[in-house]
Amino acid sequence: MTAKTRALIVEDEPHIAEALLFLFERAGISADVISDGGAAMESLANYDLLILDIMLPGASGFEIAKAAAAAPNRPKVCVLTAKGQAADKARMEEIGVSAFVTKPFSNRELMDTVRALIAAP
Amino acid sequence: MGVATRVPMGDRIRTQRRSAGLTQRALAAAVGVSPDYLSLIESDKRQIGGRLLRQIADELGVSTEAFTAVSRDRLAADLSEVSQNFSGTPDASAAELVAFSPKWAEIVLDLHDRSLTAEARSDHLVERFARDPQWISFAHDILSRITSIRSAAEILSDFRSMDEGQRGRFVETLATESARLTHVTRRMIDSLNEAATADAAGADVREVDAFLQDHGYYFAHLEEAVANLEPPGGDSASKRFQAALALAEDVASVAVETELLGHRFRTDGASRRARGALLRYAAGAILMPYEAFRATATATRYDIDAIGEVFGVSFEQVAHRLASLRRPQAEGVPFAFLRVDPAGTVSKRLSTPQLRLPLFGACPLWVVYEAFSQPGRTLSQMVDLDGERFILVARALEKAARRQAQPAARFAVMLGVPAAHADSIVYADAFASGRESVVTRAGYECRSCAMAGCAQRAHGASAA
Repeated sequence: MTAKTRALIVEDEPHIAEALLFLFERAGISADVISDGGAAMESLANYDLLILDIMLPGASGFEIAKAAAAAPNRPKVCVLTAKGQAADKARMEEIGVSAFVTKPFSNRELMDTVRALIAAP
Repeated sequence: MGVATRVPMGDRIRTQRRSAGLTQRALAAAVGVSPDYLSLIESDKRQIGGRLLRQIADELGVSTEAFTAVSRDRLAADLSEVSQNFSGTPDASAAELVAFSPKWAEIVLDLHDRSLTAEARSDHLVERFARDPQWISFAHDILSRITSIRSAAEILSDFRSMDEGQRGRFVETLATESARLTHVTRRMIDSLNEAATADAAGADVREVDAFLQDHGYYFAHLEEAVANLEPPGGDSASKRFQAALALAEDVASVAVETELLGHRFRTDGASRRARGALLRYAAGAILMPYEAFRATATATRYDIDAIGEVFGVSFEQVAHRLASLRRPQAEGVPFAFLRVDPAGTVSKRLSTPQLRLPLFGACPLWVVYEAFSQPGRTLSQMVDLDGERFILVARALEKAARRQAQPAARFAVMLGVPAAHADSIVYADAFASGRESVVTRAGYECRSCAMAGCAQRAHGASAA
């Protein structure tokens, strides 16, 4: 699946987005970056994997995760949470999200989670 | 409360001397000081204590208590209210504690204020960390900065092969995100400091009010420093007051320090607040010179609007000045002054020996609260407080909003005076009959009130 996986990084912090994009390229995963939640909602059909921040302009990470769960292509979702935000994680789990990486994450931890998610059925 | 309370005793010494039938010269000779020096003492231009005070008391056949009693009444009343706040029952032993050791009474009040401040600050911080959007934003910002820095640093370390442009951008990320991290952390610390230094429980307000009250809200040095100054012009009461305040800063700063001499405030905030209050007092004295003001007040029977028109000042400024008509031998009607906000928080209180105003919000039946329902109108009331009657006069005021869509600040100010002075004040005319039908039965504040059948009761034994 790795070869054909298309990932969308939804992150409004440009420095984090740039680093993620670099890591995905090096891992051979095709990826795009969108910083606005509203624009991300409209692009869900084009991607198999979402890397999703929670606090976003336009639409929140929760709205996007809900839309992803309801989308015909059911993209997989990995959420970037913040330490100490247990309530956010619980809410995402209710929506059906199972992959989380806590900021500030290590690159290795993030990419291991992403690879495991891609490999999962 | 201040640790060292300076009480103006001159007038009381003079009164006791006269009732003992002694001349200034005779008393001065008896205690071994010059008549001039005794005159300075009697006009509160010299503070005395210790041996000389005891000698004077002995010579006049009274205890030194006779000269310091008002401050102790205030201490006992405050202490009793504090005990009600804690235990819910009035405590008659407050006066005994004050009589036994005023120092310890001051310390108890001081500790009470400190505990209120600490409690309010901790509530404030818990609220901040848990729900305050500003703190959620700080946390998000800091974690994002650290994430960027960590990711970029790991990339630079793990991937040796990278084009120079890309490497330069990640190095740049390290620099800019570190700078932003520093910035947001500073903002967070500043915000913590603001919370820590704020007078969260209003302790500074109470400390300064107690200081003003212990001086009977009359400051001879300030009056003297601004006497005979030309009141500044201006097209509104607030502009004239600002101009008077600037003038007071120029001419009365030394007098302010003289009035504060020997008094130590617990916090810098209280000390600044006291200086501000004394400068505003001086500004009021510039706009409303004592004798002219007292004469106008007497002639208009304390009609606050009429007085305001004569001196070109606001309702609140007149009300404040009326509370300061305490010059020995030239006193006005003894008005207590109270200012509250719509939530009931007391932002200024000047009790008199006749009318004690509560520390934490008065009886809800007082007209000062009804004033909010009719802003700009002067309301009056005759109240019966535990068998003593008082005339209360109140008005709600708005301080104009500084920006569109921001609410204006609202306050209600109230003056209170024993009904014995009813003939002297225009607001009492409506209650001249003195019949029960024109008198509101009320209390001082809820916790200590014993009035049965009060529909407004919130605290105390018979609360629902």
